[in-house]
Amino acid sequence: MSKLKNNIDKGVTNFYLNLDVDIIKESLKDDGVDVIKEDEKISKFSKRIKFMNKAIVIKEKTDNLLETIVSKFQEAIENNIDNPIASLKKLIEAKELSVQFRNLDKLTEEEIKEIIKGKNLVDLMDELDGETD
Amino acid sequence: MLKINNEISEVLKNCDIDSLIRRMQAFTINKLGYNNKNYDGLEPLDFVFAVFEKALSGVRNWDKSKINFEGFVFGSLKSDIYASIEKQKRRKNTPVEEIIDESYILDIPVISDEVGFEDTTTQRIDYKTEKQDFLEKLKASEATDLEILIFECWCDEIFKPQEIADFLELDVTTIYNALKRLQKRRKNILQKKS
Repeated sequence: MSKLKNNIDKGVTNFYLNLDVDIIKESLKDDGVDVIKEDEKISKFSKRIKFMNKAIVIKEKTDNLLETIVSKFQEAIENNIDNPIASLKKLIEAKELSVQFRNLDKLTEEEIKEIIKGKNLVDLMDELDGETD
Repeated sequence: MLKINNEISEVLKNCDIDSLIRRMQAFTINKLGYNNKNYDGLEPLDFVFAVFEKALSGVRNWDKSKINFEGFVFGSLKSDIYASIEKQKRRKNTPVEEIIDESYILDIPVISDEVGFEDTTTQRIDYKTEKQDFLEKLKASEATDLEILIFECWCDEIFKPQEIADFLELDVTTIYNALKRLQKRRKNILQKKS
């Protein structure tokens, strides 16, 4: 982009970055835009993005926690650490899962997730931390 | 993603999002006009909403260390507008009834056209000559003194509306109305040129 075009672009962008919203609304009204109707739409949308943002943060935290717990179980199986293995066996029994889940050495990541499913992850993490400390 | 969304959470808590959306909407209208055909069946606000959705879902990643959130969403919006104009260009058979402002779009890479970005990769053009040439075209198109002064401010790197208003001893509304006229005039000049 040439310097002149760059400056014009910066000028226009800076204007909209810093312009008072009331001035914009007045101008939109002059152009025939139903600002009140749009205000409702904007308000709904901003609530939606705040909700979406919260949901994503919570989901990502949950996913991270799940990954950590799965790793801890895998590590326990690999290193034959008694207490986490016992916890895992208890969960398998409580859920009455099929035979394929009984052979811990062959458990896949997805199968461990299936075993953990429905459990309170924070409690489970605390339990594992207590056992491995 | 979690880090970005946590950072966005902070922004959403502390910033007037409704106002930001309005400013982005006005910017979109400034670039694409009001004609429905320029929006591919959407509305200016839909363009703005899409920018936020892309930021939240990680389609576009905000790098806090490089630019603030407002600059980032404006940069993303510009990229989307650019993509939309390119799409329309490809549909040559469908005439665009309202001339859109694509003058600033010259091989701009996605996002790189953010506020504060200095493009050093393009060729140097004789700035003085280019400025003079555009000034003459503005005058020939009967631009008002105020429109010319706004253009001169930009050339002298005075960009913020309040700074321009203070410099010209006028209120921001007057400057804004003149800016809109100036943009229309510029579109017409560029249309004639092409």
